Amino acid sequence: MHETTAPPGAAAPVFYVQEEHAHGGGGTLFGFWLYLMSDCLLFAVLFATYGVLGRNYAAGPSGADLFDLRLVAVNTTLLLLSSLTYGFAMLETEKDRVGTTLAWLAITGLFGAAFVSIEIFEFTHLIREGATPQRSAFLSSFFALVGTHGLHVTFGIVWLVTLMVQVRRHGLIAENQRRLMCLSMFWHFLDVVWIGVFTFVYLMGYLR
Amino acid sequence: MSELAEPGLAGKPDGHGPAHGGAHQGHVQGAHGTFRSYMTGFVLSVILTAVPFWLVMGDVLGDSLKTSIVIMAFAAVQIVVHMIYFLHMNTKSEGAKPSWRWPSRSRLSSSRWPARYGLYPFREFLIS
Repeated sequence: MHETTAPPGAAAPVFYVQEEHAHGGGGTLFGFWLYLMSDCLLFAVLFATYGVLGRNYAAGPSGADLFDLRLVAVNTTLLLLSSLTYGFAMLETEKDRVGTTLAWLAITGLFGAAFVSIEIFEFTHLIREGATPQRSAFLSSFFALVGTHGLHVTFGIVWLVTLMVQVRRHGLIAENQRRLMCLSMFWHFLDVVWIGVFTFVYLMGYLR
Repeated sequence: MSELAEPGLAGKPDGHGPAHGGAHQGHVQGAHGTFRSYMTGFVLSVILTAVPFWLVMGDVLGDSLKTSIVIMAFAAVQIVVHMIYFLHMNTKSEGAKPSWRWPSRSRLSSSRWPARYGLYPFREFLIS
């Protein structure tokens, strides 16, 4: 009777924009590197601030009075171990094993959570002793730098749990692999920043 | 006029465009580590962490300036170790097509050279 472009009952034509996903995450990873470098600038500013203000105690406590290096050593070990276990998770991802990937991610998250818990314990201990951020320029810059790092780890854990749910629901599809890759870079990057923190803030603060 | 601008488009008509980039597209990219590389990075990191803590907590060197310099050096080395073994940084590109590359010899010696670029032999360098 009357002409139709598609016969009744046939599915409507679907159009794909092929180029959008043709790069296999290469563009995303490059973009994520740009983000990491901007984050690096943020930490550079906080390190510089600490470098300038880190000795201004305002007749208050110094790093040598406050820092418990054994606690810092434990925290450093936890973060280092979490970097290793995240690496193991990535190795399992390559082998397409969902279960062991999730297990290693969970262990990584636990190490991260332990790190944040010890840091919160340390901060509350300092504040209870009167070493609050308002006490001196040293403590302001200390809490700003170490606190920003701790917040990054906290959000890294939130991200990690989110990805675990995604992997559980959708498996190790290309999108999830890309996301895991981005988080791995974020996680290892935070470990690199921590090297600067424990050396420049804790160890050198303890020396004088 | 439009002919002069064309060499800027990476010489596609000449047929040597695909020689760069696009080598590994279609799967999730990024350098991957191995069990061995992660363990190497971890062991190196443990050593590079333990020594500075030992130097400071044990007051081994007896001089804070000397200790500061040594632990800063250890930190610098450990950051490089992390970048290589955990962040997998290397000299390869991240898979994106390079936006600029050295003009190839064949393009310079193309038979169309004189007609295209006239009296300005280094124009291609400026355009590409």
